[in-house]
Amino acid sequence: MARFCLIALCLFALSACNAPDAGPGVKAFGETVAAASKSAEPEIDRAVAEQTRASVAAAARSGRDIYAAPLGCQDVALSLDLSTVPDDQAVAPCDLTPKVTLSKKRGDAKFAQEGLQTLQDYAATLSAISGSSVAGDVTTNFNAFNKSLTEFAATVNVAPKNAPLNAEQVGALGNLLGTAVEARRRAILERLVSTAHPEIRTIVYELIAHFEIKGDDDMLDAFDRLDAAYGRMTDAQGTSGYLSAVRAYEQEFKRFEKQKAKAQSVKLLAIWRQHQLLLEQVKSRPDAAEIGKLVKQVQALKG
Amino acid sequence: MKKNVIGMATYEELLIVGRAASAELEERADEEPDLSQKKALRRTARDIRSGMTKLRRAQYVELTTPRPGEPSTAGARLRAAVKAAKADLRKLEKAANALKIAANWLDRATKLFRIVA
Repeated sequence: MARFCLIALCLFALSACNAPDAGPGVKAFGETVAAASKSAEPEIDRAVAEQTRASVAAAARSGRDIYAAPLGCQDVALSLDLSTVPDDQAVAPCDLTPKVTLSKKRGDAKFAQEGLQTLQDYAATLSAISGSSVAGDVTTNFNAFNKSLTEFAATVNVAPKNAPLNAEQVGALGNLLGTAVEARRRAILERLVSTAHPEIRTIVYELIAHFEIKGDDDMLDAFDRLDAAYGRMTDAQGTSGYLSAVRAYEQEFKRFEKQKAKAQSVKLLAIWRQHQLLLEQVKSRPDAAEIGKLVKQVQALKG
Repeated sequence: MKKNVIGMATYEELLIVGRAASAELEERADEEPDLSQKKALRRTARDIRSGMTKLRRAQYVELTTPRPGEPSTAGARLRAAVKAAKADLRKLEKAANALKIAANWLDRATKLFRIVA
Protein backbone atom coordinates (compact mmCIF):
# COMPACT_ATOMS: atom_id res chain seq x y z
CA MET A 1 0.00 0.00 0.00
CA ALA A 2 2.80 2.39 1.06
CA ARG A 3 4.68 1.54 -2.12
CA PHE A 4 1.57 2.18 -4.19
CA CYS A 5 1.10 5.60 -2.52
CA LEU A 6 4.72 6.51 -3.23
CA ILE A 7 4.42 5.52 -6.87
CA ALA A 8 1.16 7.50 -7.16
CA LEU A 9 2.83 10.53 -5.56
CA CYS A 10 5.82 10.31 -7.94
CA LEU A 11 3.55 9.97 -10.96
CA PHE A 12 1.39 12.87 -9.81
CA ALA A 13 4.40 15.09 -9.28
CA LEU A 14 5.86 14.10 -12.63
CA SER A 15 2.64 14.55 -14.58
CA ALA A 16 1.90 17.91 -13.01
CA CYS A 17 5.50 19.09 -13.25
CA ASN A 18 5.09 21.92 -15.71
CA ALA A 19 6.13 25.43 -16.64
CA PRO A 20 8.88 27.44 -15.04
CA ASP A 21 7.74 29.93 -12.43
CA ALA A 22 5.27 32.46 -13.86
CA GLY A 23 6.06 34.95 -11.07
CA PRO A 24 7.53 37.69 -13.29
CA GLY A 25 4.60 37.46 -15.73
CA VAL A 26 2.08 37.59 -12.89
CA LYS A 27 3.88 40.59 -11.41
CA ALA A 28 3.96 42.42 -14.75
CA PHE A 29 0.27 41.67 -15.32
CA GLY A 30 -0.60 43.00 -11.85
CA GLU A 31 1.37 46.18 -12.52
CA THR A 32 -0.40 46.70 -15.86
CA VAL A 33 -3.82 46.26 -14.23
CA ALA A 34 -2.80 48.67 -11.44
CA ALA A 35 -1.61 51.29 -13.95
CA ALA A 36 -4.80 51.04 -16.02
CA SER A 37 -6.95 51.10 -12.86
CA LYS A 38 -5.20 54.18 -11.52
CA SER A 39 -6.20 56.05 -14.62
CA ALA A 40 -9.59 54.46 -15.37
CA GLU A 41 -10.98 54.07 -11.85
CA PRO A 42 -11.61 57.76 -11.05
CA GLU A 43 -13.47 58.18 -14.34
CA ILE A 44 -15.56 55.06 -13.79
CA ASP A 45 -16.28 56.15 -10.20
CA ARG A 46 -17.49 59.50 -11.50
CA ALA A 47 -19.71 57.74 -14.04
CA VAL A 48 -21.11 55.49 -11.27
CA ALA A 49 -21.80 58.59 -9.14
CA GLU A 50 -23.65 60.05 -12.12
CA GLN A 51 -25.64 56.84 -12.54
CA THR A 52 -26.44 56.94 -8.81
CA ARG A 53 -27.68 60.54 -9.09
CA ALA A 54 -29.90 59.58 -12.03
CA SER A 55 -31.28 56.58 -10.12
CA VAL A 56 -31.90 58.75 -7.04
CA ALA A 57 -33.76 61.27 -9.17
CA ALA A 58 -35.82 58.47 -10.73
CA ALA A 59 -36.60 57.09 -7.24
CA ALA A 60 -37.71 60.53 -6.06
CA ARG A 61 -39.96 60.94 -9.10
CA SER A 62 -41.63 57.60 -8.45
CA GLY A 63 -42.10 58.36 -4.75
CA ARG A 64 -39.64 55.73 -3.46
CA ASP A 65 -37.42 56.32 -0.41
CA ILE A 66 -33.90 57.47 -1.23
CA TYR A 67 -32.26 56.92 2.15
CA ALA A 68 -32.84 54.30 4.84
CA ALA A 69 -33.25 55.31 8.51
CA PRO A 70 -29.83 56.18 10.04
CA LEU A 71 -29.77 53.10 12.30
CA GLY A 72 -26.05 52.58 11.89
CA CYS A 73 -25.42 56.18 12.97
CA GLN A 74 -27.62 55.59 16.01
CA ASP A 75 -25.38 52.65 16.97
CA VAL A 76 -22.37 54.96 16.77
CA ALA A 77 -24.04 57.83 18.63
CA LEU A 78 -25.26 55.57 21.45
CA SER A 79 -21.97 53.63 21.60
CA LEU A 80 -23.93 50.39 21.54
CA ASP A 81 -22.12 47.16 22.32
CA LEU A 82 -23.25 44.94 19.44
CA SER A 83 -21.00 41.96 20.12
CA THR A 84 -23.94 39.88 21.32
CA VAL A 85 -26.54 40.75 18.70
CA PRO A 86 -27.51 37.92 16.34
CA ASP A 87 -26.26 37.93 12.76
CA ASP A 88 -29.63 38.91 11.34
CA GLN A 89 -29.33 42.17 13.26
CA ALA A 90 -25.93 42.85 11.76
CA VAL A 91 -24.23 46.18 12.14
CA ALA A 92 -25.75 48.75 9.77
CA PRO A 93 -23.39 51.19 8.07
CA CYS A 94 -23.48 54.86 8.99
CA ASP A 95 -23.07 56.49 5.59
CA LEU A 96 -24.97 58.43 3.00
CA THR A 97 -25.41 55.59 0.50
CA PRO A 98 -28.76 55.89 -1.27
CA LYS A 99 -31.10 52.91 -1.08
CA VAL A 100 -31.39 52.73 -4.84
CA THR A 101 -30.13 49.61 -6.59
CA LEU A 102 -27.93 50.47 -9.53
CA SER A 103 -28.57 48.65 -12.76
CA LYS A 104 -25.66 46.48 -13.93
CA LYS A 105 -26.74 46.08 -17.53
CA ARG A 106 -24.24 46.41 -20.38
CA GLY A 107 -23.57 50.05 -21.02
CA ASP A 108 -24.20 51.04 -17.37
CA ALA A 109 -21.28 52.56 -15.49
CA LYS A 110 -21.83 49.94 -12.79
CA PHE A 111 -21.24 47.18 -15.38
CA ALA A 112 -17.90 48.77 -16.31
CA GLN A 113 -16.99 49.21 -12.63
CA GLU A 114 -17.65 45.53 -11.95
CA GLY A 115 -15.53 44.60 -14.97
CA LEU A 116 -12.58 46.61 -13.69
CA GLN A 117 -13.01 45.27 -10.14
CA THR A 118 -13.07 41.72 -11.53
CA LEU A 119 -9.77 42.34 -13.32
CA GLN A 120 -8.27 43.68 -10.08
CA ASP A 121 -9.54 40.71 -8.07
CA TYR A 122 -8.20 38.35 -10.74
CA ALA A 123 -4.76 40.02 -10.64
CA ALA A 124 -4.72 39.80 -6.83
CA THR A 125 -5.68 36.10 -6.92
CA LEU A 126 -2.96 35.34 -9.47
CA SER A 127 -0.48 37.08 -7.23
CA ALA A 128 -1.68 35.12 -4.17
CA ILE A 129 -1.37 31.78 -6.00
CA SER A 130 1.94 32.70 -7.57
CA GLY A 131 3.42 33.92 -4.28
CA SER A 132 1.97 31.11 -2.15
CA SER A 133 4.51 29.33 0.02
CA VAL A 134 2.31 26.26 0.35
CA ALA A 135 4.81 23.86 -1.29
CA GLY A 136 7.63 24.89 1.04
CA ASP A 137 5.21 24.79 3.97
CA VAL A 138 4.24 21.21 3.12
CA THR A 139 7.87 20.09 3.04
CA THR A 140 8.68 21.94 6.28
CA ASN A 141 5.54 20.73 8.02
CA PHE A 142 6.02 17.16 6.82
CA ASN A 143 9.56 17.12 8.17
CA ALA A 144 8.37 18.68 11.45
CA PHE A 145 5.60 16.08 11.63
CA ASN A 146 8.07 13.26 11.05
CA LYS A 147 10.42 14.67 13.73
CA SER A 148 7.54 14.94 16.20
CA LEU A 149 6.42 11.41 15.37
CA THR A 150 9.93 10.02 15.91
CA GLU A 151 10.27 11.87 19.23
CA PHE A 152 6.89 10.67 20.34
CA ALA A 153 7.70 7.07 19.42
CA ALA A 154 11.04 7.28 21.27
CA THR A 155 9.39 8.81 24.35
CA VAL A 156 6.69 6.23 24.62
CA ASN A 157 9.24 3.59 23.64
CA VAL A 158 7.25 2.18 20.78
CA ALA A 159 9.69 2.92 17.94
CA PRO A 160 8.79 0.53 15.15
CA LYS A 161 11.55 -2.00 14.54
CA ASN A 162 10.73 -2.36 10.87
CA ALA A 163 10.24 1.27 9.96
CA PRO A 164 9.21 1.45 6.28
CA LEU A 165 11.52 4.40 5.55
CA ASN A 166 14.84 5.55 6.95
CA ALA A 167 15.58 9.18 7.89
CA GLU A 168 17.05 10.02 4.50
CA GLN A 169 14.08 8.52 2.72
CA VAL A 170 11.70 10.47 4.93
CA GLY A 171 13.51 13.70 3.97
CA ALA A 172 13.28 12.76 0.30
CA LEU A 173 9.59 11.98 0.70
CA GLY A 174 9.05 15.41 2.28
CA ASN A 175 10.74 17.03 -0.70
CA LEU A 176 8.74 14.95 -3.13
CA LEU A 177 5.53 15.87 -1.35
CA GLY A 178 6.54 19.53 -1.60
CA THR A 179 7.24 19.08 -5.31
CA ALA A 180 3.85 17.49 -5.86
CA VAL A 181 2.13 20.34 -4.02
CA GLU A 182 4.18 22.87 -5.97
CA ALA A 183 3.13 21.19 -9.22
CA ARG A 184 -0.49 21.36 -8.08
CA ARG A 185 -0.12 25.07 -7.25
CA ARG A 186 1.24 25.71 -10.73
CA ALA A 187 -1.55 23.65 -12.29
CA ILE A 188 -4.11 25.82 -10.44
CA LEU A 189 -2.38 28.92 -11.78
CA GLU A 190 -2.24 27.58 -15.33
CA ARG A 191 -5.90 26.54 -15.28
CA LEU A 192 -6.97 29.94 -13.97
CA VAL A 193 -4.92 31.88 -16.54
CA SER A 194 -6.16 29.66 -19.41
CA THR A 195 -9.80 29.86 -18.34
CA ALA A 196 -9.54 33.60 -17.80
CA HIS A 197 -7.84 34.36 -21.12
CA PRO A 198 -10.89 34.84 -23.39
CA GLU A 199 -12.78 36.58 -20.58
CA ILE A 200 -9.93 39.08 -20.01
CA ARG A 201 -10.10 40.03 -23.67
CA THR A 202 -13.86 40.57 -23.59
CA ILE A 203 -13.74 42.59 -20.35
CA VAL A 204 -10.93 44.77 -21.71
CA TYR A 205 -12.93 45.51 -24.87
CA GLU A 206 -16.10 46.12 -22.82
CA LEU A 207 -14.17 48.70 -20.80
CA ILE A 208 -12.69 50.31 -23.91
CA ALA A 209 -16.21 50.43 -25.40
CA HIS A 210 -17.47 52.08 -22.20
CA PHE A 211 -14.94 54.91 -22.48
CA GLU A 212 -15.36 55.31 -26.23
CA ILE A 213 -19.16 55.35 -26.22
CA LYS A 214 -19.26 57.74 -23.25
CA GLY A 215 -17.01 60.03 -25.28
CA ASP A 216 -14.18 60.16 -22.74
CA ASP A 217 -11.68 58.52 -25.07
CA ASP A 218 -12.93 59.59 -28.48
CA MET A 219 -10.06 57.80 -30.20
CA LEU A 220 -12.15 56.77 -33.20
CA ASP A 221 -13.25 60.35 -33.92
CA ALA A 222 -9.69 61.54 -33.36
CA PHE A 223 -8.45 59.03 -35.92
CA ASP A 224 -11.18 59.95 -38.42
CA ARG A 225 -10.07 63.59 -38.15
CA LEU A 226 -6.41 62.62 -38.54
CA ASP A 227 -7.12 60.48 -41.60
CA ALA A 228 -9.27 63.21 -43.16
CA ALA A 229 -6.37 65.65 -42.70
CA TYR A 230 -4.10 63.08 -44.37
CA GLY A 231 -6.60 62.85 -47.24
CA ARG A 232 -6.65 66.63 -47.68
CA MET A 233 -2.87 66.58 -47.74
CA THR A 234 -2.59 63.88 -50.42
CA ASP A 235 -5.38 65.48 -52.49
CA ALA A 236 -3.96 69.01 -52.23
CA GLN A 237 -3.27 70.91 -55.44
CA GLY A 238 -0.16 73.08 -55.96
CA THR A 239 2.84 73.54 -53.70
CA SER A 240 1.36 76.19 -51.39
CA GLY A 241 -1.88 74.21 -51.05
CA TYR A 242 0.11 71.07 -50.30
CA LEU A 243 2.34 72.79 -47.71
CA SER A 244 -0.65 74.31 -45.97
CA ALA A 245 -2.31 70.84 -45.87
CA VAL A 246 0.94 69.40 -44.47
CA ARG A 247 0.88 71.94 -41.61
CA ALA A 248 -2.78 71.15 -40.96
CA TYR A 249 -1.93 67.43 -40.87
CA GLU A 250 0.90 68.09 -38.40
CA GLN A 251 -1.48 70.03 -36.16
CA GLU A 252 -4.05 67.25 -36.33
CA PHE A 253 -1.35 64.72 -35.50
CA LYS A 254 -0.45 66.68 -32.35
CA ARG A 255 -4.14 66.67 -31.33
CA PHE A 256 -4.27 62.93 -31.91
CA GLU A 257 -1.18 62.41 -29.75
CA LYS A 258 -2.76 64.42 -26.93
CA GLN A 259 -5.94 62.39 -27.18
CA LYS A 260 -3.94 59.16 -27.16
CA ALA A 261 -2.01 60.20 -24.06
CA LYS A 262 -5.19 60.62 -22.02
CA ALA A 263 -7.15 57.72 -23.56
CA GLN A 264 -7.93 54.78 -21.29
CA SER A 265 -8.03 52.37 -24.23
CA VAL A 266 -4.24 52.35 -24.65
CA LYS A 267 -3.68 51.39 -21.01
CA LEU A 268 -6.53 48.90 -21.02
CA LEU A 269 -5.26 47.17 -24.15
CA ALA A 270 -1.89 46.76 -22.40
CA ILE A 271 -3.69 44.47 -19.91
CA TRP A 272 -4.71 42.18 -22.76
CA ARG A 273 -1.20 42.19 -24.26
CA GLN A 274 0.34 41.42 -20.88
CA HIS A 275 -2.10 38.56 -20.38
CA GLN A 276 -1.06 37.04 -23.70
CA LEU A 277 2.55 36.98 -22.45
CA LEU A 278 1.43 35.52 -19.14
CA LEU A 279 -0.50 32.73 -20.88
CA GLU A 280 2.59 31.87 -22.93
CA GLN A 281 4.63 31.78 -19.74
CA VAL A 282 2.31 29.47 -17.80
CA LYS A 283 1.92 27.15 -20.77
CA SER A 284 5.62 26.84 -21.60
CA ARG A 285 7.17 23.39 -21.52
CA PRO A 286 8.71 21.83 -18.40
CA ASP A 287 12.13 22.92 -17.43
CA ALA A 288 14.73 20.10 -17.88
CA ALA A 289 16.37 21.10 -14.59
CA GLU A 290 13.07 20.69 -12.79
CA ILE A 291 12.53 17.19 -14.16
CA GLY A 292 16.11 16.34 -13.20
CA LYS A 293 15.45 17.55 -9.65
CA LEU A 294 12.34 15.41 -9.45
CA VAL A 295 14.18 12.30 -10.70
CA LYS A 296 16.84 12.83 -7.99
CA GLN A 297 14.14 13.05 -5.32
CA VAL A 298 12.59 9.81 -6.57
CA GLN A 299 16.01 8.12 -6.58
CA ALA A 300 16.65 9.25 -2.99
CA LEU A 301 13.49 7.44 -1.98
CA LYS A 302 14.98 4.14 -3.11
CA GLY A 303 17.66 4.65 -0.47
CA MET B 1 -15.14 35.62 -44.66
CA LYS B 2 -17.95 34.70 -42.31
CA LYS B 3 -21.30 36.22 -43.11
CA ASN B 4 -22.26 36.65 -39.50
CA VAL B 5 -20.72 39.89 -38.26
CA ILE B 6 -22.17 39.63 -34.75
CA GLY B 7 -19.46 38.54 -32.34
CA MET B 8 -16.01 39.69 -31.45
CA ALA B 9 -14.03 37.20 -33.58
CA THR B 10 -15.67 38.31 -36.80
CA TYR B 11 -15.28 42.01 -36.03
CA GLU B 12 -11.63 41.34 -35.37
CA GLU B 13 -11.27 39.33 -38.60
CA LEU B 14 -12.86 42.12 -40.65
CA LEU B 15 -10.64 44.75 -39.04
CA ILE B 16 -7.49 42.75 -39.67
CA VAL B 17 -8.48 42.17 -43.31
CA GLY B 18 -9.28 45.89 -43.70
CA ARG B 19 -5.95 46.82 -42.16
CA ALA B 20 -4.06 44.61 -44.61
CA ALA B 21 -6.06 45.92 -47.60
CA SER B 22 -5.51 49.56 -46.64
CA ALA B 23 -1.76 49.01 -46.18
CA GLU B 24 -1.56 47.20 -49.53
CA LEU B 25 -3.34 50.06 -51.33
CA GLU B 26 -1.08 52.67 -49.71
CA GLU B 27 1.94 50.64 -50.84
CA ARG B 28 0.61 50.46 -54.39
CA ALA B 29 -0.09 54.21 -54.31
CA ASP B 30 3.53 54.83 -53.30
CA GLU B 31 4.71 52.94 -56.37
CA GLU B 32 2.08 54.31 -58.79
CA PRO B 33 3.59 56.85 -61.23
CA ASP B 34 0.23 58.18 -62.44
CA LEU B 35 -0.95 60.95 -60.10
CA SER B 36 -4.67 60.47 -60.60
CA GLN B 37 -4.31 56.70 -60.08
CA LYS B 38 -2.22 57.37 -56.99
CA LYS B 39 -4.94 59.63 -55.53
CA ALA B 40 -7.64 57.12 -56.39
CA LEU B 41 -5.74 54.36 -54.58
CA ARG B 42 -5.27 56.56 -51.54
CA ARG B 43 -8.96 57.49 -51.50
CA THR B 44 -9.94 53.81 -51.59
CA ALA B 45 -7.51 53.09 -48.75
CA ARG B 46 -9.07 55.93 -46.72
CA ASP B 47 -12.56 54.62 -47.45
CA ILE B 48 -11.51 51.27 -46.06
CA ARG B 49 -10.06 52.94 -42.94
CA SER B 50 -13.22 54.96 -42.50
CA GLY B 51 -15.20 51.71 -42.76
CA MET B 52 -12.96 50.20 -40.11
CA THR B 53 -13.67 52.96 -37.58
CA LYS B 54 -17.40 52.56 -38.32
CA LEU B 55 -17.09 48.83 -37.75
CA ARG B 56 -15.23 49.31 -34.46
CA ARG B 57 -17.83 51.86 -33.36
CA ALA B 58 -20.60 49.37 -34.16
CA GLN B 59 -18.80 46.77 -32.07
CA TYR B 60 -18.50 49.21 -29.15
CA VAL B 61 -22.23 49.93 -29.39
CA GLU B 62 -22.89 46.19 -29.32
CA LEU B 63 -20.59 45.74 -26.32
CA THR B 64 -22.45 48.44 -24.38
CA THR B 65 -25.98 47.39 -25.33
CA PRO B 66 -27.94 45.15 -22.96
CA ARG B 67 -28.54 41.66 -24.30
CA PRO B 68 -31.76 40.22 -22.95
CA GLY B 69 -31.38 36.56 -22.11
CA GLU B 70 -27.59 36.66 -22.09
CA PRO B 71 -26.64 33.52 -20.10
CA SER B 72 -23.60 35.05 -18.38
CA THR B 73 -21.14 37.86 -18.89
CA ALA B 74 -17.36 37.56 -19.20
CA GLY B 75 -17.11 39.26 -15.79
CA ALA B 76 -19.36 36.63 -14.20
CA ARG B 77 -17.40 33.80 -15.79
CA LEU B 78 -14.08 35.28 -14.64
CA ARG B 79 -15.41 35.75 -11.09
CA ALA B 80 -16.44 32.06 -11.06
CA ALA B 81 -12.96 30.98 -12.25
CA VAL B 82 -11.29 33.14 -9.58
CA LYS B 83 -13.55 31.66 -6.90
CA ALA B 84 -12.71 28.09 -7.98
CA ALA B 85 -8.96 28.82 -8.01
CA LYS B 86 -9.13 30.39 -4.54
CA ALA B 87 -10.94 27.28 -3.25
CA ASP B 88 -8.29 25.00 -4.81
CA LEU B 89 -5.47 26.98 -3.20
CA ARG B 90 -7.26 26.89 0.17
CA LYS B 91 -7.45 23.07 -0.07
CA LEU B 92 -3.67 22.90 -0.58
CA GLU B 93 -3.04 25.27 2.31
CA LYS B 94 -5.34 23.19 4.52
CA ALA B 95 -3.26 20.10 3.71
CA ALA B 96 -0.08 21.93 4.71
CA ASN B 97 -1.72 23.15 7.92
CA ALA B 98 -3.03 19.69 8.77
CA LEU B 99 0.56 18.39 8.95
CA LYS B 100 1.51 21.30 11.18
CA ILE B 101 -1.45 20.72 13.49
CA ALA B 102 -0.67 16.98 13.67
CA ALA B 103 2.96 17.78 14.54
CA ASN B 104 1.82 20.18 17.29
CA TRP B 105 -0.46 17.52 18.79
CA LEU B 106 2.33 14.96 18.76
CA ASP B 107 4.65 17.47 20.49
CA ARG B 108 2.04 18.08 23.16
CA ALA B 109 1.45 14.35 23.59
CA THR B 110 5.20 13.80 23.92
CA LYS B 111 5.51 16.52 26.60
CA LEU B 112 2.51 15.14 28.43
CA PHE B 113 3.93 11.63 28.34
CA ARG B 114 7.27 12.88 29.75
CA ILE B 115 5.49 14.65 32.60
CA VAL B 116 3.35 11.62 33.42
CA ALA B 117 6.18 9.09 33.07
